[in-house]
Amino acid sequence: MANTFKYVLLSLLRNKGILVWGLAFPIVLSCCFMMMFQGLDDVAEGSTIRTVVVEDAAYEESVALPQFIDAISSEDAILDVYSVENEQQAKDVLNDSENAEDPYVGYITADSAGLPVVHLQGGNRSNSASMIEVYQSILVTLMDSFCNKNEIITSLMKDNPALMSDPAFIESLIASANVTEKIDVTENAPRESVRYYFALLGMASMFGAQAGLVAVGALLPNTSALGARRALGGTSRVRSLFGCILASWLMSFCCLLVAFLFMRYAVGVDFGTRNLSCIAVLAASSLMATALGSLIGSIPKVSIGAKSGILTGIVCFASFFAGLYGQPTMQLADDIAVAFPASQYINPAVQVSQAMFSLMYYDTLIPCMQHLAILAIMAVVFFLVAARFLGRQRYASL
Amino acid sequence: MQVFKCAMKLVARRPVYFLVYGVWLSLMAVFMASSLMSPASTDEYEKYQVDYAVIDRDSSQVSEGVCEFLTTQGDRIAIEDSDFAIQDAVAKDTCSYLLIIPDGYGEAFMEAAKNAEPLPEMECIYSYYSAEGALVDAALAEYLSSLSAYAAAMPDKPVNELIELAMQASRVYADVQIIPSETDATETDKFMFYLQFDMYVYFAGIIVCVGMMLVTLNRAEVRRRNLASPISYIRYSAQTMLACLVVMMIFWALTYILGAVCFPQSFAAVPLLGKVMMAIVPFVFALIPLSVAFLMGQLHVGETLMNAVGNILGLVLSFLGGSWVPMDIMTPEVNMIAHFLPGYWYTDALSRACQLGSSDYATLAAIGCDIGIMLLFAAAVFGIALVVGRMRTQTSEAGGNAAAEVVAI
Repeated sequence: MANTFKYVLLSLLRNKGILVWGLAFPIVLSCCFMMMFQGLDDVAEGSTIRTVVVEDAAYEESVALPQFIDAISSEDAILDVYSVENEQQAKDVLNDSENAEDPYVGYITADSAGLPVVHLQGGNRSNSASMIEVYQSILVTLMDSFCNKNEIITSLMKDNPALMSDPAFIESLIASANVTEKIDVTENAPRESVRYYFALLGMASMFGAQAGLVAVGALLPNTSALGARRALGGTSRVRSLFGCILASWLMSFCCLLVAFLFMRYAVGVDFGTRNLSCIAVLAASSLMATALGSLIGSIPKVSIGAKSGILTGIVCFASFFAGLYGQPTMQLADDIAVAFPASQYINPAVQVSQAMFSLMYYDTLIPCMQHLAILAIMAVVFFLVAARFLGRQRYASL
Repeated sequence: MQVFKCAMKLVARRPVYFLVYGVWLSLMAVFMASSLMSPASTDEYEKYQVDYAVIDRDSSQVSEGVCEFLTTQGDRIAIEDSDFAIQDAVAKDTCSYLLIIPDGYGEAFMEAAKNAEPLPEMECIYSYYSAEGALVDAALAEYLSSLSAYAAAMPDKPVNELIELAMQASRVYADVQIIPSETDATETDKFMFYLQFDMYVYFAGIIVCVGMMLVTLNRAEVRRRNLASPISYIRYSAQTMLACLVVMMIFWALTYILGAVCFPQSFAAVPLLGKVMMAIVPFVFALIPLSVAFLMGQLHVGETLMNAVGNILGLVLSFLGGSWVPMDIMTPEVNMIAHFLPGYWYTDALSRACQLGSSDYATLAAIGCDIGIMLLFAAAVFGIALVVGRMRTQTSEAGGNAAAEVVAI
């Protein structure tokens, strides 16, 4: 068995295809993600809202709007204001910035009553990941608050005019109330970009099944001359199979580990502080992948090429529901997970990404253990079916 | 046409790749594009709705008022009051804003408001998108500020009446007007998104199917036999190229027809000239993976490696081409890098073509420019493949001059 293990491992190491799938694939995509998702996290973190203010005669004559705008656009405030003299200039500024990285979301004018009118830039908002729609709503909410205060002052002046002469009350009314304290409840701050790396690890671990597929496929006597020779060799089938599986698992685990370390230290992805638990997840993931590869590799009367195609199809399908293929698929994967929670339990790619996810965000290890248990059950089921295929074959029989 | 027929048979011998990369991935693209939201109405302002959750440990009139007010901000998601449930909701982005109202908050709030003291604070948690949380938080602060003002001004009024007054004040809105934009969302988006997703289908599918066929034909023994046959080398190459082109066209036609059939409304919304250009653009783009497949064939790449190359190139180009993640959220550096990859020009050409009017010559010229750049990419890769092929045929392995020299020695 030791010889089988040694030579299968050597042959897998010399197989460029497996190295590309197991190593190059996650490393190349990690580099790609690293370049792309900095912007995504910046969008998620939010920034100041760029707004144009038309400082025409109506605006200057407004009783409180200029002071209000000054207050919410002062240093460290939420609005970043650019002043112009008329509406045409404001429209020009908006149009010029429409395709900019950080566009102006709209402009503000004052009506004849001194109340704000918000002009928002329309546009394609259905598919864009940018937060312009949210920023526009925040701008409107801020202007709504001015109108609310105006309404309160008007109504109170009718009921209790004396109160309006109390500067402390007026100040408390105008000042923005601090009613909430932002807290963190997860082990690490949620970040959109990390979810793609989890999905990538899910896909990479499943593609590690190529090692199992190639190793077990080469064991079948009817697929190659090598397989036929090994079938006649002195080593029992069980020992050969065990050696193959062990070598495949070690190969896919090492590839996954290198990819993980690359993501962690070269790309700089923060996977939290539970490094050993992460490695345990990778070990379980590669075991599941090896079992899957063994299962597909042991399918009788199908060529290695076709088996490779079947594996690719399964991995693409599973990764699709793990949300790897961009933002719309991530949203779709979330929606499907909410609507059909059971679909997650049968998807290995989702289980791998969820296991990493649970390590990063939860303060307990129980959710991770549950995902590991599911991966272990998957591995056992795949191995049992593979054993069934391998044990019931006749080659060149009458 | 024996060589052509033989080449097509080689492709047909591996139906699994066509099913996985052609049919299966195209169906995933259909599924994905179908899930896109309908175009947003840009004629009138609609407030952005945020999924939020409230854990009310107070159950006072004030906290119930807060809950009532928050219904104007989006959909309330039910979250259990436990540490794990809260972590789960935030980590899985079940809700973008989670508010925890502590026990005794209502009483403390009214007391502070009436005595003009700082208002007590509640705990809130933002999920992935801080801006969404900030939106709800700003609205909530405004509502409680109004309630506080009314409580200070009318300390004898019952709490429920103060809440009603604050709610009334919160229903006074600023006037909002929408400026029409040339880039309004349209019905064509689904068909366009579907074709953009097909970038992955073309790369993975064409590279693997055509590449494997060429690898088989370029095997040394097969090649020697073919070179010794009565058919001229030019006819042999022409028929092989024709087979490659036909396979590419099968992928191209399949994806285009599937998109037109699955998104009839979206397809119908594209102007006629746009339809033509949206057919030409994927055709030209598909020439690039065809060139890559030709290169892989010359390099005698194995089946597993061919799959890997097709998938990796497909994924990287789809991501960096703005097919799956919008270019507007990427950094300027990544945008710059994207210009050096064909995916960018493909998505750019498609987005222009879907709105193409019959007399819009400027857009037509821009699409022509995109197509020209894609053709250059295809030509560059094809040129490299020819050089590699030439060098390889001279090696001893491929039976070229080097082999003759070996025999002579």
